[in-house]
Amino acid sequence: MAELTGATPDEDIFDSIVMAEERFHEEGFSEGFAAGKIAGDQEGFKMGQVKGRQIGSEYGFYLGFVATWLQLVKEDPGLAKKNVVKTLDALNAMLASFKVNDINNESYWDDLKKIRDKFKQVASLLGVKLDFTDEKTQQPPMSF
Amino acid sequence: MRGNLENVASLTGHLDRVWHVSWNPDGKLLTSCGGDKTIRVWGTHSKSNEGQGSDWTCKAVLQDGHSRTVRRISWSPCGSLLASASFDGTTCIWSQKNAEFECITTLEGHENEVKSVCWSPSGSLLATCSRDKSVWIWEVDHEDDDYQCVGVLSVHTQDVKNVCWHPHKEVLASCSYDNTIKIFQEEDDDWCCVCTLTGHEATVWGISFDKTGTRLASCSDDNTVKIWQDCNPDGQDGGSSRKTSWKCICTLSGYHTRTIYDIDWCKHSGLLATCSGDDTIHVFQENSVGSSYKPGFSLMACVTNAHSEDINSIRWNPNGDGFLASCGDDGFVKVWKYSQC
Repeated sequence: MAELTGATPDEDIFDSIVMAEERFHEEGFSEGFAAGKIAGDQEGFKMGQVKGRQIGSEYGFYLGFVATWLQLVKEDPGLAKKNVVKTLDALNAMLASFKVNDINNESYWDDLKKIRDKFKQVASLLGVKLDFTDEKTQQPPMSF
Repeated sequence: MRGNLENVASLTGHLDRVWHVSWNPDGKLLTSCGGDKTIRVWGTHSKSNEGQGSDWTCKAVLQDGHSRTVRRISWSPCGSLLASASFDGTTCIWSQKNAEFECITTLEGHENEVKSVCWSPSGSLLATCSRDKSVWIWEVDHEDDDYQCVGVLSVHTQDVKNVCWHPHKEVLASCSYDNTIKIFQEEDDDWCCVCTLTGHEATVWGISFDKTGTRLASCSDDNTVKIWQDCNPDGQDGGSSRKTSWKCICTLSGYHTRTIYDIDWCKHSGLLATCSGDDTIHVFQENSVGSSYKPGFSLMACVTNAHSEDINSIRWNPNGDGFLASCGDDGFVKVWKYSQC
């Protein structure tokens, strides 16, 4: 034990040369890690921005749609039957309770899907051919 | 094998593959649809069912309703309306008056190919499903010929292949390219999925309830047939219908060597008919011995080369006289007579 702890200065210099590769490797790693973290942050930010924009504009589209129709029906009750207004109200309630910013919510994606389904039902009942589609998610027509 | 399946008629007329066959409720008319965008109505001249073997003719051709393949057809329980699902994304409702058919309504809403359509046993609801992964339920007002969407259900993760109603309850089953079967019921004015049946290892192509509605048969791309039992048909254990639980109680494998495209459970005889991409038709019967929770099925009849290409659909005549219709990629519609030896 005494021999090991009492290493001479000569051995230290020798050590710094031999271990240089490993040391530079570590330095390079931490520098690269820091740079990568910034780049990754930016990339993630961009992806989140695109996805968030998609969801936000879809949610806003439904909000605007429902608000417009509820106002129209209010002014002219003859525009839609009772059950259609009821479905509009149901969609309105779903939109109101949906927390668009709370993406970590367990039921977030299911709730969004239910809103999409309810919108399709409302559009069908109103006889409106309107669809919020994101062109990027459209698949090529292939079927059997 | 103790049964025999005899080919009594081969009907030609379709110019492309034939996707589906369907008998009208009294079993006197047979309809078929296919890639040639038409629906053909077939019947016999004779008044009695005795003559169903001999003189089949094409009584009507329904065209101009769809711009693409007609994938499936369904008769309303009253027999006066015919619904057709098409790859053009629409569902047409045809009204039959005397021998004439007229397209009275077109249902739109699906984003792309509609794969199947089915009338509920009461005739007041209609279900459609599509490649857009959704199942739609429509409420029918027969007086005004008005169809209102009462539910859109995007719960499958892939193409929905087929929909089928329970024989006497407002319970709907659907099957999909996502390998699952789902059961839907209305709860508090909203249609929702109450049960997911997993077990098939590939696309589930066809589903059919037995006459009691407590069992469901399914056929798949994994070459097997599965029998599912509703373990809580009356919604006991708390009375909530959410307690619906279906369990696979039997798997028939080793019979078909390729995809089984369709299955039909005869509501009279209890016989199960299947058809496949291996060009064969099989008929199964439940063994009389064995508990209701562990049934066994025996092969009663098997016809090899029943069609020269994939067989897409098979349907028992609803009047229970043992006639069976099939159709395939070879463009033929065939009628068979099943008899016990």
